This record gives sequence, structure tokens and C-alpha cells, in this order.
Amino acid sequence: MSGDHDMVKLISSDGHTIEVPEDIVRKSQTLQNTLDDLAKDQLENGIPLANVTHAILTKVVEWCTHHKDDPPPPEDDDARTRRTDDITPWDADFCKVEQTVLFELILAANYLDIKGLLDLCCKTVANMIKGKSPEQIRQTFNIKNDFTPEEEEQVRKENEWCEEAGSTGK
Amino acid sequence: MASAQHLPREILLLIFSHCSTLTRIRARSVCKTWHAAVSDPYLWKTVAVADMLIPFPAVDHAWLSTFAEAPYLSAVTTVDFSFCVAFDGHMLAKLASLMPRTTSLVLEGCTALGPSSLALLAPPSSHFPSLTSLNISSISKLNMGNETLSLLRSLPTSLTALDLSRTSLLFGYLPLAHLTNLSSLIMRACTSTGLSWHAALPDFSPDQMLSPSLTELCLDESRGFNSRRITQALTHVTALKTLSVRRCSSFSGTAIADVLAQNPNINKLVADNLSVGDQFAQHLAATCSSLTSLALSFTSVTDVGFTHIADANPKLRLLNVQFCSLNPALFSSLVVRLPALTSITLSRCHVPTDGIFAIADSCHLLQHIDLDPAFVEAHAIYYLVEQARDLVRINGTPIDDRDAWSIITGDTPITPNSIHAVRLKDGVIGVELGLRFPDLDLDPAKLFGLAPLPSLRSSSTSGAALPTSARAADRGVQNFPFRPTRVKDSSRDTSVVIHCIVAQEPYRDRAVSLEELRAHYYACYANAACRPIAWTTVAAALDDKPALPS
Repeated sequence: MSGDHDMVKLISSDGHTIEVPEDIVRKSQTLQNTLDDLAKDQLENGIPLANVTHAILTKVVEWCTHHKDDPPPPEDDDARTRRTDDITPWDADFCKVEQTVLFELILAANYLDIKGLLDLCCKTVANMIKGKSPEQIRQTFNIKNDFTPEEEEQVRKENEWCEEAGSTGK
Repeated sequence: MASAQHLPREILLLIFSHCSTLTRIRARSVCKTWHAAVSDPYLWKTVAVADMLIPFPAVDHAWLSTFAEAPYLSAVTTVDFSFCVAFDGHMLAKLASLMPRTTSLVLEGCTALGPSSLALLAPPSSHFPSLTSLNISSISKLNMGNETLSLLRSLPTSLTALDLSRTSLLFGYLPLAHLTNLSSLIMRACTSTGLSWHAALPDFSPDQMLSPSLTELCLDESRGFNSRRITQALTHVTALKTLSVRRCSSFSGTAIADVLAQNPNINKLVADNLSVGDQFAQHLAATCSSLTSLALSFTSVTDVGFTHIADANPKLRLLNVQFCSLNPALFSSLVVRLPALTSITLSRCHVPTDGIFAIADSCHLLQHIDLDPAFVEAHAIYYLVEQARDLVRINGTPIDDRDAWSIITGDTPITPNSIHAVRLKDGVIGVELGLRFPDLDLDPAKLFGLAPLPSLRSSSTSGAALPTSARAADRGVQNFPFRPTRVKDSSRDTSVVIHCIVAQEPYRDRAVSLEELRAHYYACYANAACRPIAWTTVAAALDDKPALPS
């Protein structure tokens, strides 16, 4: 096994190489497996990450560096898993980025298997959805309404049990 | 280019898993991709009426028929029909046929149910064969009468959790010994006062002894039974992890000490508002060394007792010492013994300024601190915010808004588009909705996903006429706990702070649990025609601590 403070080369999809301390790289389950599977000399040229751009990779490394001393996330956290107000100020600041960047981060965290970062970004998106009407959600995320009027009526019917009686003219 | 519409399904599921039922239902109408994702049975393990904004009385036979048609409910395992006052035995039977896989059933406050209709749950006719968790609290028909006792006797042995809170049942007198898998028993605010069958309480018998499998017991606010019966019922119980006896006046300090001695592995103890002091604390320190969460607010325990406890329990993460008498000179030496703290409640403890410095230097994992009212110098708070990297809240207010802790000076700021818990005057606890309308045509009710409120809408356009509780009364809503208190009207923005009062009883001199607030919330809305805010929203806004200061 390699020492604790070795640097690992990561190559982003747009061809940039960055060097990252191994303990930071190991926050990613995917990269941890790669490190464990490959011999040291196979790592010399760096690990290519086909799905992550340089800009996003830099953000991911920034998050992992800040959270390097965190305990591993609990395996089973079904209790109170829906809390979205427990985001620390640093994390909240970290997520104040353009929407496309936020979604790229989600995809990168998913690909690299970094649970804490994935949860954080998903909570941030959940908070952006919270309390909005369907039309407001579409505006926020620039989503096209692709339902036909008939389908929309069908969805409305299926959702009837959860609609407020007051607003449906009861 | 990543966009919200084209995220992989697994990611959408993860995002929606952080959303409430109501939010999901709205997201379902957004587009076809989202519709398909939200309809995934994976997201619908739990269905709770409290998450929605349906008035509780509207959940009736007709509603249940509509509910049954929702196509994505096949995997539901947790069903929560709390306070649906029209929910009766027929609806229970229908629910059983709709969701036979239910493992957790919450029927709190379903007052149309009684011991005979609940007998559906019991073998051999058991309608929910997989049931492991049952909540039949706040059903007044459950008392020490024979009908209820025979219901309890026939409850399925598969149960691991049982909630009998706010019934007229008495702990120590219940035939529950056959529940050999029971791990959690909750009996909050149970009382027998003034009931005629009191004289005919059953004698002690072995079928009242609880199973050794019990790990959690809560008797908060319960009265009317005696300590001897408690210890008898707990004869075989030696593996308790959680014991909660807040304001449980019939449980003496000595009896609690006996239970602790028999259950040395307890890690969560809630013993607020009890007449116990340093002697109890020393006993606690001598028997328990695995405590991670301890609440002893409004007791006579002093820093002497807390020092013993802290020395014996280095893993203590959550501590509530509100209203306890702590010596300012010894405070710092107490705090250095608590390096693992993540949450501390010190309200009304007269913490000195150097105490805040000691907390900042010793408690690096701190996330929550309550200091209300704080007579400390502001630079100490600045220092604390700098040092405690994980600090999320001071006095229940989010810390990311740097103005937030001006609450310390008593001036609660208007926080745009935020929801958080506040303490109002006279010990009333509420939720504050800070609303800001850059676009005056925006309906604040829609903004927060609230039920439509015509009076509010008019206030956002005029900026002057405030809806009052009198207006709410016009709409035929009783006890309408929704009260805008402040408006700022600059040239472009209108801000309104609305206090949604959760609990109106003054809580000046005692601890308040989230559970208690929840009960108040339901009491406010049980018969109301609308709910402006869902409980889950309130709960998320409130701090997740065992007790809130008044």
C-alpha cells in the first residue's frame, strides 16, 4: 500500500490534470476502489475521469478537502432523512452556484460515489422545489410542460386525494 | 449540459426522497419525466395525512375511495392517519384490504375508533398481518375498562413498538407481557384522574411484566400510577437505551435511580421538570457511563452534579440544563469536560462571557446552542461562531443569516423567505414565516404552498391592511393561529412576518418537547376547515432538541 500523503493525478474530461492528496481522493468510493485495484505504477499517468470537467472536479476536490475529517456517513439513516434544514453555512455557500453547475456536481458526486456531497446537492435542489406550484417549479428549472391536456387532467385526478378541499371548490 | 428535466431517474428519486408528500405531489404535475419518477413506489413507503393540507375531518369514506385509486401506493408500509376524526372501523378494514403490507400504523387521535373496532388488528382476524408498530394514542375510549384490557391482551405478538400516549391507561397495570418482541413503549401524558373504575384497578400479575426486549420507555407527563408498580412492571427489563420521564410526577427520584441501576446501558435520559438534585446526579454518574443525550432542565441539579455526570460520561453529545442553577465561576471547568457536545441548552443559566469562550475552545463539534436570554458580550458570540465550524443554530435560529442572533438582543429580524421557530411574548411558541414579495402580484399563500388565504392576498397588494385573527374568524375558522405581526413597505418590497402559533399555553417555567408542540398543533387544527401550514414544515422549522426554551 502507498503512504498516507501520496499525491494522485486525476485527469478531467477536458484534459486537465490535477494532483490531489490520496486521503482526499479516497472520499470517493469509486476512486478508492480504483486505487485499491490498480498497482502503483499503473497510476503514474493519472486516473482519467471521462464524465467530469476540470471546473466541476475542482469544486468536488474543494468539498472533499473541507470535509476530509468528517466521520463516514451512516449506512442507514431512514429516520429524519427528510430534514433539509441541517445544511451547514459552509455547505450552503458551496452550493450557491449556477443551476447547471449544481446538476453537474450531482452527476459527478453520483459517478464518483461521494455520498455526503450527493446528499447535500440533492437537499439543495429539494429546497428549491419546496413550497412552489408546478408552474413555479417549471419556471425555476426551465422545464417544458410536456403533458397533453388529457394527461394533465388524469394527473390531477390521481392527485385528488392530496389536494386541499378548500382549493378544489368543495 | 445537465438540466433538471434530464437528470437520471436514480438522482430524481434521491431528490424527491428529501421532499414532503405535498411537494412530491406538486412535482408530479411538472413534466412526464418527473411524473414517472415521483410515481415510483420506492418513494411511497410512507403516507401521512399530516404531510398534506387536507383538513383532518375531510378524511372520510369518500376520500378513502379517491385515495385507493392513486396508482403508486402499492408499496406503502407506513400509514399515518393521525387525527382523522372521521376514521372509523369500516375505514380501517378498507385500509387493511388496500395496504395489507402495512408494518407501521398510526391512528393517533382517531377518536371514532374504540376498543371494539381496533380488535380488527388482533389475531385471529388480524387485518394487518405484518404489523410491527402501532400508535393508538389520544383515543379517549381507551381506558382501564375490560374491553380495552382484552384488546391489549390480544394485540399481535409481532409488535415491536406501541404508543398509548394520552389515553386513560395506567403504566404498570397493563397486560402486555405477551408482547415478547416489544422494544418501544410510549405512554406520554396518560392519566387516570377522576375515572370511576379507578377503585377496580387490576392487582399485580405476571402478565403485566414487560418483556426483556424493551429498549425504549417514555412516560413523560404521565400521572396517577405508583413507583412500586413501575418497578414491578420493569422487573425483567435490563436493556433500556432510552428512558424519558419528563414531568412524570408519580415517578420518584429513588425509583428512577433503581431503574437506572438495573439498566446501566441507557444512552438517552430525559428527566426534565423532576424534583431531583445533586444526589440523583451522583447516583446517575455512578451507574451510567454511556449517556449521549441528557436533559435535566428545570431540576435542582447544580454544576456539582453535572461535573460528576460529565466525568462519567465523556461521550455526552446533547445536554439540556435550562433553568438549572450553575455557578458562573465553575462554568468553564464544567464545559472542558464535555468535548463531544453537539447541542447544549443553557437558557436562563446566566452563562458568563468567559463561559462562551470556554465553549468555543472546548466544544468543537457544537451545532446548536441556546442561550436565551444571553447576558454575554457580543465578541464572545463572534468568537464562538468563528471557532465552532459546525454551528448551525443559536437560539433556534439559523446561523447562516449573520443577523440571526440579534435575537439575543430581543430584536427578531425579518428574514426573507425563511421559516424558523421563535419564541413570542408570554411564553408562546410559534413558527415565524418571513415573507418578502419583490413582485407585489405574487400570492404569499402560493409562495409557501399554503392553503389560499384571501385576506393575506389583499395585504400583499395594499401593503397596509393586515389580516387579523378577526378576519380569520370571518372565514369560519376557529382558533386560527395565523397572525401577521409586522410589515415593512419600501418602494418595491413588501415584507411580512407571520407568526403561526403552535402552542399558546405559556411555557415560561418548564421545558417543552417537540411532541408536546405537536399535540398542540393537532389540537389547534383537529376540527379546523383548513391548515395554513403542514406539521412537517413546522417540525422542520423547530429545533430537533428534546426541549425548547420558552
